[in-house]
Amino acid sequence: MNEIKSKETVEKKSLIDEIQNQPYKAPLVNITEDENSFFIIADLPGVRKDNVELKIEENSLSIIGKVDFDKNAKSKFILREKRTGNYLRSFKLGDSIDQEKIEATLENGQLLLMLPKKESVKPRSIEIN
Amino acid sequence: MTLVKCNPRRELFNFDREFNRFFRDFNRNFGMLRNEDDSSEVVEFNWSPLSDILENDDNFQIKLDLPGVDKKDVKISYSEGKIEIRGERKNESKVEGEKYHRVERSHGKFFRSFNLPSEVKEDKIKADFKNGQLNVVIPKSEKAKPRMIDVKVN
Repeated sequence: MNEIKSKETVEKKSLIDEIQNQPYKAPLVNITEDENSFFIIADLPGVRKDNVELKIEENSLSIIGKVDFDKNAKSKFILREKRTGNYLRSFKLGDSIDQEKIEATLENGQLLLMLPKKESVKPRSIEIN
Repeated sequence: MTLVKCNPRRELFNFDREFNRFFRDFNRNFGMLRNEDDSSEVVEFNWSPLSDILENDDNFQIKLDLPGVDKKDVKISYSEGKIEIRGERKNESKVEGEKYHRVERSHGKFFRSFNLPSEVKEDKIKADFKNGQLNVVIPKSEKAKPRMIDVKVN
């Protein structure tokens, strides 16, 4: 549990300039772990592939997703449940994660991150001669 | 004018009735409850996707957030002024020995229904699915579109 800790307060400085002055919301995530890696799945509905950015600064990982807002200002809302805003959420990375090997895929509005563990922390069995 | 005996409890009953009505309407409008009369099919669902409904001169537009849902797993149906959207978000493959740290995203069956005004072109309802968002466009019938009428002043 200590490996990945979400950092709820996000410094404005770490944001990409484009969405700096726009409202943002934290995407919902699932975090799982198996022997070799950690996995983060984040919901980013409405975000195109070229509008997603992952930023690693020292030990913090930020997921940034820019939403294309409706240019159609002529429409008026009848029901509005979704909060408008871009997506932003940061996590602290533990020492056991190999930052060079992080992989990410975006599919169907879902961002899947694979954070492999370093070889030194993977469980291994030692053979007895 | 007639005199009515004061009954403080009556006010209480009225309040209770109004209160119940409010929640029944609320649930129905947001797809939480089906009409009492069509109890033939009980819908079981685990979550409701967030929706926005927009209106312009020509169309109604319903936008739902369905990240990670397969296009094949979404079913949209329309009958008698009511549009129903249902489907399922499948849980990611559960691998043996996997440990969960955080589960914030809901999965399982979902269902939403919305009552539409009667003046829509029900055969021209269109939907597309992109980046985990479902967009349903419901064109208004000619009758419902706003018109400008020039009135001559003599």
